[in-house]
Amino acid sequence: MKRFIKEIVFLGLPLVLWAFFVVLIDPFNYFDISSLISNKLKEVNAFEVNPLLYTVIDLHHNPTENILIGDSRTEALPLDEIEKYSGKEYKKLIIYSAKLNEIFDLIYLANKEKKLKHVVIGINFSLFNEFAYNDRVKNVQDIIGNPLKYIYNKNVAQVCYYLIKAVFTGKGIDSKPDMTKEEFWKYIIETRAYQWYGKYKFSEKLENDLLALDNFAKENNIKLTFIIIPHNKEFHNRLVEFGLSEEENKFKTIMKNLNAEVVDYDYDNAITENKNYFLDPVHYNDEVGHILVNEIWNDKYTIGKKLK
Amino acid sequence: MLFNSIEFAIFLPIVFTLYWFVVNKNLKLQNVLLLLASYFFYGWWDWRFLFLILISSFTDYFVGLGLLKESKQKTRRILLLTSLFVNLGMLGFFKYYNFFVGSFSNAFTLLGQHLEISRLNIILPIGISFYTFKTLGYTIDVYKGKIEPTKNLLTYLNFVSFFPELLAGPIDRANNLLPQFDKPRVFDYNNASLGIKLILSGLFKKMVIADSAAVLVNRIYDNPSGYVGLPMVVATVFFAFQIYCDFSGYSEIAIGTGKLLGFNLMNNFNKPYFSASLTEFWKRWHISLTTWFRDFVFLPTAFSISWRTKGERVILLKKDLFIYIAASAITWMLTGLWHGANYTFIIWGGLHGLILVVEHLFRKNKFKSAYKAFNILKTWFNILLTFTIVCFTWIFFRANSLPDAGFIIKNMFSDVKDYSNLSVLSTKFRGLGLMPKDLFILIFFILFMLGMELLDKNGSLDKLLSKRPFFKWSYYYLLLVFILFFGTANAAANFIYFQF
Repeated sequence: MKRFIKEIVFLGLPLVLWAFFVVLIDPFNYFDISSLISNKLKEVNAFEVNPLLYTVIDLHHNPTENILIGDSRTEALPLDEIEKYSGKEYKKLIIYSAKLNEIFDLIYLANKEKKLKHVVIGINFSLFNEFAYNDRVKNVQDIIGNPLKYIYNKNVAQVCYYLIKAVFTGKGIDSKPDMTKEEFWKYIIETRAYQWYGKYKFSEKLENDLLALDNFAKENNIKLTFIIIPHNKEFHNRLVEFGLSEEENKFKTIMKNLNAEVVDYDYDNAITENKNYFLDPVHYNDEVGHILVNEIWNDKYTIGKKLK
Repeated sequence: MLFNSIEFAIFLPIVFTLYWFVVNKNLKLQNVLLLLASYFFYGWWDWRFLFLILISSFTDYFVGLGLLKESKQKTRRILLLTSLFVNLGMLGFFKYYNFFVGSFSNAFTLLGQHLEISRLNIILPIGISFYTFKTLGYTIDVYKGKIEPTKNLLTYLNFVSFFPELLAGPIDRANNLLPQFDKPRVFDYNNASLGIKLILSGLFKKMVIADSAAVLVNRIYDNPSGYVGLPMVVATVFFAFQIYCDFSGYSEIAIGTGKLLGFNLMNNFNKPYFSASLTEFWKRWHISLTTWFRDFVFLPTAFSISWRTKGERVILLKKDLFIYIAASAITWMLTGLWHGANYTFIIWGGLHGLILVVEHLFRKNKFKSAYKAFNILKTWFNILLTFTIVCFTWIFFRANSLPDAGFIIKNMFSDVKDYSNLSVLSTKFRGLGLMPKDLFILIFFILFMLGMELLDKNGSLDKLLSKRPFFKWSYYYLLLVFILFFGTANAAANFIYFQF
């Protein structure tokens, strides 16, 4: 029996040591007790590997009343300018390759942490697809509720490795793109458009979830603003080629009938027709971010169209 | 309580410590502890259903004692029928009531009559198919005089409710398990060490492979029209591994837990996907259920038909063949029905029965070449063919309805022309909630598991692990890392066989 107990201890010991190591490094600031590694270094590496986990843990520690939520297309909206115009504190909740169901889950989660006052959602027709589905928020919620799931998480292990590497070599995660801008542009127009529009089905479930959120916001006095994010015209043409114009109109009609404020930038206009405003066909640059924020938060529209 | 839950990770060490360090000198106290632990383990899910286990246990305990005392055949038969009535009655009510009511009502509708029978909102008690079969097997064996009934109530209650195998088997036989409760238990290092290996391997199969595959399989099988073509093929193959890893994973944890407590439970799986025929597959898959049906349904049915039929031929068939076909048909329909109250399971069982009959007809014409390489190639071809057949039948098992199964079979190869276009193919998998790298990681783990099974031929993996400490610890740590870092992504899911 002694030998068996010894072996069980030997088997469990590395797990205990690993737990201490993670608490010490704490790459996502889950425990928020260790300052061994700078928060800046943690943010750069952890956000790159799992922005959702990083954001939700941050939200858990520092809940906020006003949020900006969406996928990478919402990321370029300048937070400092929003805070300057509104005089209020905002927090960005970004999920790379976000799906609409995940955005909704995240809003309810944020509201649980602190009663929300203003929610700004970056949305686009491409998200309104039954096959645009993922369920990562639930996993993150599980992690928030169970430290063991944080300690033995592969993303946490991955970031620990990058942080140790950064401490010893000065180099953390390498996130350089492996294509030139032109190559990437072409890739998005051909492949990404096919992935988004090649398999499309209007989702009644998402429509119901959207209406439920709209009612929830109205009942709880939460101001809800949807920004229909601009895509370059070349990319929008692909939508037409896939025969989805009617579906897009249906999407905009649904948006139009919401109680929430909806501002549309994804139609033929000075932004969508100018390639220079885009990093790639679906990601506008900082200049457009400034235009959008200026128009929406000052309520002066020259390009954006309020759908009502 | 689930084997892959935090609760079980706390429960088992507590039971282990009390069992070997507190009550280790008193067999009766050890058995009392096991019984309390088993009821606590089951009651954690829903304590109300403990009464069903008690009803089943007490009925068969007293029927067993009655059979011991009674010599009159008529009374003995009444006692056996009492056990059958109680156990199958409970099973029939909780598992099949709504199915039979629905089928009855549909049959009337087909005849142009409308029959209104209300369906009940019944919760299926977890593990009922397993413990009722276990306790029924005991009574039938006692009735046939194959085993002596136990007079010790504590032993019998433990036999029925022993927690490692209470929820999803193995459906152990009384002649194996019952005597183990009456023998003093001595801690055996090798046995316990093997138990830990089995628990780790079972958790790896369940948490890393089965639960990951479930994400893809559930999305596709719950919405087949959205995933026409290759995704259906992939989902079907993944389901084959999901159900295998889910169920054999459970069995390994159960057997491993038994070993930690000094028990040797019946083996339930023996690398079934390396079978070269369906006949061999059923000697390696869910062995405890297959042997149960063989001993208590197939053989008695075959004997009964043989006794009732006269002459050399029956309906143009040789008598032996007719008996085999008839007994197989009944056995496999019941096997299908045991798995669930749905026609998909009956068709699944029926298909297996049909293919086994075909194999039975051609088994004498096996060609063996003088060339070893040819025979090896032929064996691998047969393994692949058997796996393909098994996968095909899994479609009926997993599909939510017969029309769904038909739709999948009709459309699963409808896009072969797209196979050369990777971009088109990858788009077909959109919306599964999985990244392409997740699929490749899953394939890696499946290959890892199959590689380990190949390495384990004739128990050689166990020998290697016991002789070479480096391999042993590397293997253990590798499994631990896989379980902890790749198994925690999915929330703990129920074992598939709990529903049966």
